[in-house]
Amino acid sequence: MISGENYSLEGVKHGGVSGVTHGDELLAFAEALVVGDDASLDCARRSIVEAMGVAAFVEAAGVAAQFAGIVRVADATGIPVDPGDEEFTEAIQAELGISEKFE
Amino acid sequence: MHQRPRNLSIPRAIARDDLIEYTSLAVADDSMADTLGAGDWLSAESDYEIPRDLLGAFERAWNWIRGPGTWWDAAARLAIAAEVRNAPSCPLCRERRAAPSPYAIEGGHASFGVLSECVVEVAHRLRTDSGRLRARWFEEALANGITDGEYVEVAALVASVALLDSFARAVGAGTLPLPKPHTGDPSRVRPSGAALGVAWVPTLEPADIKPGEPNPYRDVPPEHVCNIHRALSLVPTEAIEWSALSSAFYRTDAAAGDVENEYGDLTHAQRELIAARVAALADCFY
Repeated sequence: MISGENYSLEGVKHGGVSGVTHGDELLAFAEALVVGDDASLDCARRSIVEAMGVAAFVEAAGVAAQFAGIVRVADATGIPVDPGDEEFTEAIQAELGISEKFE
Repeated sequence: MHQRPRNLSIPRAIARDDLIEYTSLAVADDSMADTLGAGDWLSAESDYEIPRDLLGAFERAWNWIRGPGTWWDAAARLAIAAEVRNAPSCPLCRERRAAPSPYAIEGGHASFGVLSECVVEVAHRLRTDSGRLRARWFEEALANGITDGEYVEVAALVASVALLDSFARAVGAGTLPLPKPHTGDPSRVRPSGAALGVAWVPTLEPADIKPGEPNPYRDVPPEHVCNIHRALSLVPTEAIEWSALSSAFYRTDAAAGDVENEYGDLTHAQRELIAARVAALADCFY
């Protein structure tokens, strides 16, 4: 990764180890917000606040919410991957199991 | 606070009355020219302190949603927002989401009965299963009566409501009651230079923006324009408002692209991890 950190896509795929600092808490929160119930969200929320503080939690909430919206913009309009990113993106998509483009 | 009717198997006439009561669609009150106070609501209801810029972005977005758009009037826009909220509990949507292919499941949506079935299908699918949409589904939506401009505006509304409601829920605020609609007519302004190209919908290239037309890329540095910016450009004012909302809750494009420095309280890696997990859960191809 450009920043110098190494991370694992397994975390993105299955919510497991990511290699990112506080990755466990952040992944659990993202999952709870998208597919979890209120109890799991509350638990995940408290974990982030305890580990990273309120400001970081609010920022994480903003990122997760923003992506809850932006994925619908992309999917609704059928935009393709930008030129130049295809090879890198295809590798990521294959590893995440999102390798079928719906026609 | 009005509670959303939980039983959508009730007859449509009653469902419509519920929606009218829930959204105040029957009354468009010109005297309510002041802001909803969505930011104040969020600040009061959140379990955590929310930065002022996010409160402002939250309020701006809801004020935009409650007003007339390009192709939909305010009442229709709020009805779309109501259907976006309704969709996760729609039995048809639930069955489709659980099925290996949503296209094998036929049926009618549980809706409030205000919008056409075509528009309800679009709003519900974009909310509950956007990752498995196909070009053929989009073409069928056009054949069923929604125009491409109307569709893009619905997409922008779905994305915006998904963002706003997700954030409110994330910080423990619950769900903002839908506001009353503002009066006014849709602008019905279509960018003359929009054309089919990269996407299912026509898009507008920066070079094709005519003098006097709204510029959907006005907040995007030219070197950062990419397909996600083009996506809503057929309805430039929606693209502008979405860009403002999106940037506030993520980071501006300039900051997001500067990986040599960290911004805010999360690292780039942490931010991207959250984003990637949300996108993976939504089966987002892009």
